[in-house]
Amino acid sequence: MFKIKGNYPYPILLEDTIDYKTSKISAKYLYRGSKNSHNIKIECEINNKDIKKLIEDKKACYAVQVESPNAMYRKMFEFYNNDEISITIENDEVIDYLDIGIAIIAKENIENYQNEDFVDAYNNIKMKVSKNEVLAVCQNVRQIITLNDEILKEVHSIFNLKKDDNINYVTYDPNYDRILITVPKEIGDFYLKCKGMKDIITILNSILFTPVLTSIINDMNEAEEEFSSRLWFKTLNNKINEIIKEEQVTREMIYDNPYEYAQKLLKNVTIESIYELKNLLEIQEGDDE
Amino acid sequence: MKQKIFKTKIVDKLEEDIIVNKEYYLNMDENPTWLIDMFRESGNNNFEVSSKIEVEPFELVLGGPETDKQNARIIYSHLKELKPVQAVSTELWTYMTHIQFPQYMASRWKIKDNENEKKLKEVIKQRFFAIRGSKGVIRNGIARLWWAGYWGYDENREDPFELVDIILDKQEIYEHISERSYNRNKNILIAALEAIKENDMYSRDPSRALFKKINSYGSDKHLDALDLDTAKEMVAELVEEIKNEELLTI
Repeated sequence: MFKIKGNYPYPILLEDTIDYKTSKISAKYLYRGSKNSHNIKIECEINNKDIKKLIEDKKACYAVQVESPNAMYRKMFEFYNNDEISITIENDEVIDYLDIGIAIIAKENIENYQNEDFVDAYNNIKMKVSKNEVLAVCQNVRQIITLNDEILKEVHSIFNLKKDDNINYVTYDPNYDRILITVPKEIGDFYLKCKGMKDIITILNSILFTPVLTSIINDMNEAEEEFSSRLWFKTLNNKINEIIKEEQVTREMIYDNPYEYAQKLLKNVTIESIYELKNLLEIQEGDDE
Repeated sequence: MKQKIFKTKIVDKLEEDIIVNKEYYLNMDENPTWLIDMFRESGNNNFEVSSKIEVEPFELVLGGPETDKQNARIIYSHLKELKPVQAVSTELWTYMTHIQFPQYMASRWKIKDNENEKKLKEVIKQRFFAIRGSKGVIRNGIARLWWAGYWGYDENREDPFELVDIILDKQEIYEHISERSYNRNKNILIAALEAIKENDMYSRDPSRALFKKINSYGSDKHLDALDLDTAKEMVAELVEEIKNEELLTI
């Protein structure tokens, strides 16, 4: 990823820059997951006219780096004259999450680089910026967690988990092909850290997904037309049809008991999580003795 | 044919039972098929599933580190279509180490006894399993051969495995490449490996010095933005620096 705290030997434009007087750089990321791919739309805003000019003259470019460390995937995309960038990454290149960073890098050596908005300390100092050096970095790198078949093992994963710095609650949005569950950043980091720890992850899955799926079953009942084109709807609908066939129940019975059927769809994760918690407590008591 | 893989539950159980089964791992050379026998005796035919991966049957050459280059060619040639996202699958590599190539594992990765069970468990886990995440899978005894192929294979060369041979020439070079994130940057990788070959930097200190310098170079320049020619120029400069430093040391 682009280094925000690197020791750059020349002024750098950051979101909380001290090298520029008034210039700002920021980015908004819009993620959309579909059956076969992940699409990320990035809107980068920069108000520094000298840097913008460098991009227009193709002496610098927007560079978007996308990385999925667990899939050993990393790729950099370059864009010119384009504040709105759209990137699509295939499903089979991503495991668990994506790191996304955006920066502006020099595409050729820039002799005597000067910027009108440099702080006074750099007044009249002309810098040499070499090709591939970083001119500006946007700090908001997002991680999107993709749940590859972890919960509904036999169906396509219907959830994506997203971290958000600005919330202190858990929320979900069904208006994507995968249901987007947004959690506070610290919770998202904790979830990632626990991947591979079966006991903890079972407990977390129960806490995060059972209420959402319960609510989603209600949504399916109340607003079928609104969601019927979504991938998650089709996947869940298929699974519900299987339950109807296997258990000889009606769709109404499922819609009347969303909590019970959410647990069934999630492979009884609520009960499993309680047992995992019990085991953990027993181990802890054993250690205390 | 479709490549077989373990069911996830079997991998979980095997991992849980590493210490229970430790004698089997320690004596793999005497009884490499212990797990298949165990499944057979218990009537468990439900331990494997067919994956989506198409593969022609192949065998690995038995032996020590000297077989690595040859085996990397074999495994990568047969599994070239494997995607990285599949190649981090613990179910695949754990199946290969336990069921498909246990004789190879016994000859290449003999496990030494260790009084410290935690350490013993860690060694078995590293070589026979593929712990989730990129750093876990690259230490698996068989996955490492595929990954060396993935990083180094270059069909534009007369011998497409030329760079793979360099990666596997010394375990240290493999470790440098596998444990640093520029293995995802083909240009840097090609430039570094070619420099190692051209300048005979295979041994520990020079190769380590080169990778260290590449890392430092990346502190203000963005390495992923370098095209192949620029990457080669950059590495050539770094090699010169190392040579000059060596002269100064003498």
